[in-house]
Amino acid sequence: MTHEICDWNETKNESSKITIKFFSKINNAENIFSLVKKGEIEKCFINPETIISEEHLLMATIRARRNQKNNSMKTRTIESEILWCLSPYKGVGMAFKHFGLQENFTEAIVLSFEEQPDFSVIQGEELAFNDSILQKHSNVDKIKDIYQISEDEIQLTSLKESVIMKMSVNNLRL
Amino acid sequence: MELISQGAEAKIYRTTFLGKPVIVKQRFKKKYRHPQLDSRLITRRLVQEARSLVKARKCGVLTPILYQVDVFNHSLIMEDLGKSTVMLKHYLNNNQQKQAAPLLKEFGELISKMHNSDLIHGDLTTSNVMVKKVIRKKEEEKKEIEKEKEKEKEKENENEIETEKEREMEKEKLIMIDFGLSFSSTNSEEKAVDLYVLERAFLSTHPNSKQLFDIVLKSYSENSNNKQKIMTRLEKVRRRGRKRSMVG
Repeated sequence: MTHEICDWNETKNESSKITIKFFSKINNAENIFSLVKKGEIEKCFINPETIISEEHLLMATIRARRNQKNNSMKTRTIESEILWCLSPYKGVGMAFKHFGLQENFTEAIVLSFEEQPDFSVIQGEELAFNDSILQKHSNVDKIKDIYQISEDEIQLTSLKESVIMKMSVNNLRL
Repeated sequence: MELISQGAEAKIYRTTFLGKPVIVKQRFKKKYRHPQLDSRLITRRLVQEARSLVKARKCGVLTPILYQVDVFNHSLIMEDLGKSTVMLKHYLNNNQQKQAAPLLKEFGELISKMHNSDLIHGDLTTSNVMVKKVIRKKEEEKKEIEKEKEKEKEKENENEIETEKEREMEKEKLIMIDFGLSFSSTNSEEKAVDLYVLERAFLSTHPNSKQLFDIVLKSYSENSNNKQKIMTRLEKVRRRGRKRSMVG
């Protein structure tokens, strides 16, 4: 799935292209892990347990992009910045721990800013990247715990909305 | 992108963001201030407003969804409530007291929820509360139509219950907006001032405002955790005058 994303005060000419794919039944986790650690893959790998909707990931992505444009990233690359923007924790380590690749992972959401991204390194089954797939593969309890969302808040509107709101005030530097 | 209004503190734009209609509230720089100080001030206010929006939701008060906080442009990107909402101010001018009463009661409840969580709105007026008609989603409508068809074959009594349920689903909801002056405080003085500001707002914008405000106040005191203290404070504030806080 490709998206053209641009910020609220930008024109369509200034938009960036991103490609997002959902992979399941991955059998070469160790290989991918080592490549990512070496920095040889320019893609963002996200733990699908923690993503509740397309919007959820896109909001974090656009914030990371804005940080990069303003030379104000907390992490070293835009790929890791996305994980930090998803995270309610101050530290980058916690962001990687919860939202990044887990040990012996079999599923991952893969995001790329490249013009012509090559996903062949991932050996697994590709599923569609949309809200219904994301809801099936997400761990609602984990999400509620990480973002500290109470039942009352979910009752008010929905988990999707509560997550977006909580994420918007993550790590606001004064 | 269009500029819809401009206040003392910020400009409000309407535009689309990630395919969604949004409202962007951009605080502007005051050139008469020292630039560094100014930057810190507006960022602090921005962050305070953002946190208040989230805190309001946490205590059960509906607000527009906050999508992003653009610290570089000192802007808040929020849900555009759109044409399905109307200010409580206009609603009260166009509807009779009887019809508005349940909404005013709900308004009192919402303020008490905020105050119980020590959140002061700071600018309580009927222009800062939006009334939204709950629009049923298409899927729900289809299900309803199917249910109705089945029940047409059955007794009349059941149809009556169905219409009651329909009425409940079409109930109007209140959404609080503009947390630009809001802050956290446990002080009952601040809460009393918050209520007083609303009382004055009612007086200046609506006829028979006393009755309307009384409904709100009654509902507030029924739901407040600190009714006694806040009510006595309110009396004191009334005697003193507009927006006068004894603290600071």
